[in-house]
Parts: sequence; C-alpha cells; structure tokens
Amino acid sequence: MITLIIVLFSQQAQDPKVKELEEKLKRLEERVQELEEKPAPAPPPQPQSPGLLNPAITVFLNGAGRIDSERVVNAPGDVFIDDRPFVRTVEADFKAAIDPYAEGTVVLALESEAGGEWAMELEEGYALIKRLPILEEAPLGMKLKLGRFRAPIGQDNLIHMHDVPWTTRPLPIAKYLGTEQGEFFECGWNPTGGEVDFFLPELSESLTLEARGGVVRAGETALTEDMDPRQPGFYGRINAFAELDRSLTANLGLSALHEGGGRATTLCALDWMVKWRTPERGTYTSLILGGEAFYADRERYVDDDGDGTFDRETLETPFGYFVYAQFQLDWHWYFGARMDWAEEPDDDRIETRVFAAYVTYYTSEFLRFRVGFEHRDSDIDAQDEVNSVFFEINFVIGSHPVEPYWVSR
Amino acid sequence: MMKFLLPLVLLAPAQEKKVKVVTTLAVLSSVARAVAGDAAEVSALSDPAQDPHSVEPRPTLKQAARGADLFVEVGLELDKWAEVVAGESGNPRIQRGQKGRVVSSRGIRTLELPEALSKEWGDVHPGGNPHVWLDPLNVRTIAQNIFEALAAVDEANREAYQKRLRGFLARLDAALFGEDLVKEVGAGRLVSRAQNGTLASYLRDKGLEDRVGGWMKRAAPLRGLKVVTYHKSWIYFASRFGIEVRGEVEEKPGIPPTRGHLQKLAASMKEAGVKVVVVEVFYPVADGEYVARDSGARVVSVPLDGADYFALMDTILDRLLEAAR
Repeated sequence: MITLIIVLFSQQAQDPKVKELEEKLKRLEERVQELEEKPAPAPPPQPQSPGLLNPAITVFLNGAGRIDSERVVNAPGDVFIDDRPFVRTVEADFKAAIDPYAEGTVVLALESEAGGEWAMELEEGYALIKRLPILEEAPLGMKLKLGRFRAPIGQDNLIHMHDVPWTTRPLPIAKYLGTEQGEFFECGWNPTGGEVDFFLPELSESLTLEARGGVVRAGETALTEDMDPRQPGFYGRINAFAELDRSLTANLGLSALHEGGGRATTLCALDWMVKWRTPERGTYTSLILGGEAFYADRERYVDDDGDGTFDRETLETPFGYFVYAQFQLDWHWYFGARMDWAEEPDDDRIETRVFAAYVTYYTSEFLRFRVGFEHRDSDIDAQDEVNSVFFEINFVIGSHPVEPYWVSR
Repeated sequence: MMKFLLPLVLLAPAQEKKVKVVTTLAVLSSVARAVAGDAAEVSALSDPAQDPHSVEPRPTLKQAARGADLFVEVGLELDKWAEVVAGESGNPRIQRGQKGRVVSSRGIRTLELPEALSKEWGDVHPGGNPHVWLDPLNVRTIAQNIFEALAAVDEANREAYQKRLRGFLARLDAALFGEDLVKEVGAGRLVSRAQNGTLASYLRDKGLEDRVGGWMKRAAPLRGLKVVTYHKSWIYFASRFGIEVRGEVEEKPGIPPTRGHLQKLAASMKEAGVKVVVVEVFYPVADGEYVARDSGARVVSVPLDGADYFALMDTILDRLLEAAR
C-alpha cells in the first residue's frame, strides 16, 4: 500500500505538496521501524500482597482401615481397634523464613486416638538457625535447631506417618521410641530441646559424613517415660551416605541416646539402606533394601506386688530390629515386604514378630493408596497369631511435597 | 637450599581463590562457565539425563552446595528441590535473599502463565512454564543474571566477567541468527525484532531472508511442523522456531497418562496430521510409541538439559530434523 502511494505520488514529484507528503511518509516508516525494534517490555512485577509473606502451607491426610482375624487392642488395657476404618492424622505443615537468620517450621497434627477421640498435637515446632549477626558463617556448615522435632534415632523415626512406606510403624520404633498409641497410629520420638547438625570434613565428592548431636528433655521415649523430665537427655548420630555409582547409593547411620539421673537408659541404633535405580532413563524401576536395629540398656525399678512402692531394681536389655525391601515397578506401583522382631522394653524375655507385605499405588505425587497384609506372632497371648489386612489412603493439599526417600522419579 | 627457594616462593604469584559456582541444571553450568571463565569453579548438581523436576536432594548434593559462593537455579518452581539442598547445606551465602542465590529466570517473560491455580490441572507452575532456556533469547537474560551475581560476589573481576558475557552473547547471537546476518543487521536489532515477533516480516521486506544462518536456518524445515510432546517442556523452543505443539502425552503436567487419554490423543493426532512425538530422554518412550503407532507419527527422544548449551541445541535440532524428514 505504502509503495503504491509512493509510486502514484512520484509522478507528481514536482508538486511541493507531494514532497511534503513523501517526507511525512518517510518519517512514519522510520517511526514504525523504531517501534518494531523497541525491546520487549520487561515482565510486569509479581503482584504484591500481604499473602506473599504467609508461610508455605501443606496439609496431609492419612487414613487407614483394617480387617483382623482376632480382636486387636491398641495397647494393653486400651480400646479395641480391629475391623474398622480410621482417619489417623491430619497434619498441617507451615514453613517460612523467620528473618534473615532463621527459618521456622510448625507441624500441627490432629491425631485420632484409637477410641475415636481427636487430639491436637504439636508434632514439630522449631526454629532452624543458619547464621547469627555475630557469626556470619558457622564452621562445617553447622545449623542449630531449637524447639520440638523428630529426633534422628535411626532413619524411620525422622519420617512422618504419611511418608513411611508401610501402613504401620515397625515394632522397635513403637516399642522403644513411640508413645502409648502403638504402631498402628502415629508414634515415634519428637523431643523438646536443641540440636546441632553439621558436615564432617569432606573425604570425597561421593561420600558425605554428617553428624548431629542434641540435648533434650528426658522422659519422652517409651523406654524412658518414667524419667525425671528435669534431667537432660543426650543423643548423637553419625550418618554416612555414599554414591557408589550413577544408580546405586548406600546410607549407614549410627545413633545413640542416653538419659541419666537416678537410673540410666542408653539406646543404640544402627540403620542401613541401599538404593538402586535403573540407569535406563524413561523407566522408574528401583529397589531398596534396608533395616534398623536397636539395643537398649535400661535400669528400672519394679513394683512386684503393686503396692505403689518399688521392690527391686532390674536391668532390661531389649533388642529389636526390622528389615525391609521395596521394589518400584514403574511410576505408579511399589511392592514391599518388612519383617520386625522386638523384645518388650519392660521384659526382654517377651518377643513379638511381624511379617508384612504391602502394595502402594500412586496416582500422582499428591495421592497414594496402599493395601497391606501383616501376620503377627507374639509371646503376648492377645497379640499372637493375628492376621490383619490394611487399606490406606494418603493425600497432600498445597505446595509441592518433597518425595519420600522410597520414591524414584 | 631453602635460602635459595624462599625468594622464589615469595615472588610466585599468590594463588587466586576461585569463585565456586554450583548450579542446579547442567545447562546453567554451561552458561556460568562461559561467563566466569577460569575465575570460577563451576559444577552442576543434576544429571542431564534426569528429570530436572524431581531430583532427590541427596546429602552429596548438600555437601557440594556447602562451599558454594553462588548457587544458580532456574526458579519458577522447576528445580524446587534446590530449596532443600541450599537450605540444608549449612551455607549462609546461598540462602534465599542473599547475593549468592541466583534465580536465573528473573526478568524473563514466561509463557503459559496460569490465570488461576488448581492441582486439578496437574503440576502447574504459578510463575509460568519454567523451561525457559529452550529459547536462546531467554539464555541472554540467564547469562546477564549470572553475570550480575558473579560481579556482586567478585567485584575485582567484574570487567573480565563483562567481557566474557559480551563474548558469550555474541556467540549465542551468531549461533541463533548466523554470523552474516548479525554483521549485516546488528545483533540488537535482530534480538529486538525476534522478541517482538517482527523479525520474519523485517527480513522479508529487506530481502534478507537468504542471509539467515545458524539455528534459525537449520530449523526452517521445522516451521509449521505439528508435534505432540510428552511434557509441556517445549513451548519456548516451539515458539522460537515456529513449531506447532498440538498436545501432550501426559494428561496433565506431571501426571502420567491413562490409556483412555492416549487413545483420544492418538485419534486427535491422526486428524491434525501430527508427524512427530517428542519425548524427553527421561520420560517413558513407550507411551509416545503407543500414540505414534495409531497415528503414524515418529517418536523422537530428545534431551532437555546438557553441559554445553550449544551442543544441546544442536542435538535437539538434529533429532527433530531427522524425525521430521
């Protein structure tokens, strides 16, 4: 069009009016070019709203139902829990920077107590201090955790119920670290106190050594619940992680807890895990083998005649372990088995064993289902020869969860 | 002996401490290496053959990040695992808000910005599609962001970084448009017009179409090619080189496809005349083959990440051209 106009007008080039129009046209062309070459405007700033300062919130729901061959009680003297469904926990995680030096985490859990009552519990609530105005950089990448948190005695105790690869907690976790809720409900040890966490000097790029040490309020594990809470408890952990090759990793951890005072309890734990994932891309096959073993040395007073006074002092040395294997077939399907063996914390002559098999199905990282079978043998009559079938659902609402360790993508 | 050696030791230039740069993706390490040169030690945390969305934040990655002066991530919630790695590294210099933390996509105009957010639509990214590096023009911004961060932590080498940045951008422009065209028209004008979407008409008007070189020339046979991709990774690449993305193998981002979805997709591909199914190297080829079988398309496995940006783009183009043939 522009060219046509130019051609028509060029025939009357002598006309001053035409000349003026030609110049106008030239200026317009230059302006169009200038506009076309103007750099794309920068993206508009993100909308600012007070909501941006809110913490990242993630909500988890974990529900499970069971069908049992015998009557099952949650714990000796407690209510029956066989043949019924439960919403076991609803957990809300809040995470945000507190200031330039620390990060805050609060995990509130609504937990079903076996009889159907609900209890609100502070599962975790801590500040993670990464540096201080007086200490710009801590040696060895040291971090300080203050508050209430799951303690690193073994690996499983660190994980919340919705992220464990089984429907029940392994026996040693419930019996030595857990609460009265038993292994079917959320249990484990989340003490109150402080912990430092740091890397040990680097030996190689493919081997990492980490150490943790904590001082916490005593009397909060199943083994030490009769301890004086004014006494401190001490724990430590050394963890070695190695990348053996592109598809094989190994983890070995050694943890110990000591609570003193009048009577002393020491708990040692050894955990290991080997994880393989196929080096072939585009497939999601993986295999995990692992286990944890616990040994306790526990002084306790015994009231033999039930008159409220202690009659004698004993030393119990309960031992327990669990081993597991899990095969991830593809993106959706996971097949696993676990075996537990544990002696009672109050009487190390009494043993219980669990043999379990599970199938987990992921629809997406936000929803998963599980079906499991467990067989239990025990020296405790009420728990002997019990077969149970479990059904479980887990879902996540909110921000992207970090996948649990047993998932390979 | 020592009295002879000592003066030599004292005269020897002091070993300069190198800036340690850790990047989440290998492609970012490629850009960082180009801008930083010998003044930095650059390493990447993820394996280019791995899905960058879901890297396990292993202790070895945290250890690698512990000594970093700069921690470079894509951002836009692509490499969200970086938050865990940096957060648990015990390295205060690379925490969010510190000058050692670089969100390299800052300032990039993202595509597919969701108008509303719901997990019903799968793994949507609130800040828009995060696979920004697949448009070479966005890599200019990434390089600029890395340069600014390098200069901030190592002011003494600012000029050297600036010089290398210019060199990298010149190489990038030549790789994209061809050296001849850059000389003829000027990189600034080409970049602006490419960003504004007026480059093709400009070259036509000026009779410069046959001067186009580089990736633009190589990708010319791909213009208008109808493809289906496994994941929504290719929108930037497709927009730059004129490829039409007609659907995804995934039903929703991050959600593996159902058989029903694959059947519907195969039918729609047949109807639309889709010729190529692009599957990122870390996704299952079998699903791509399923839809390709029914619709007669060819499946091509393509990398999304690589330790050399120029080689990565060359490989992507090679494989697409081969599949489209």
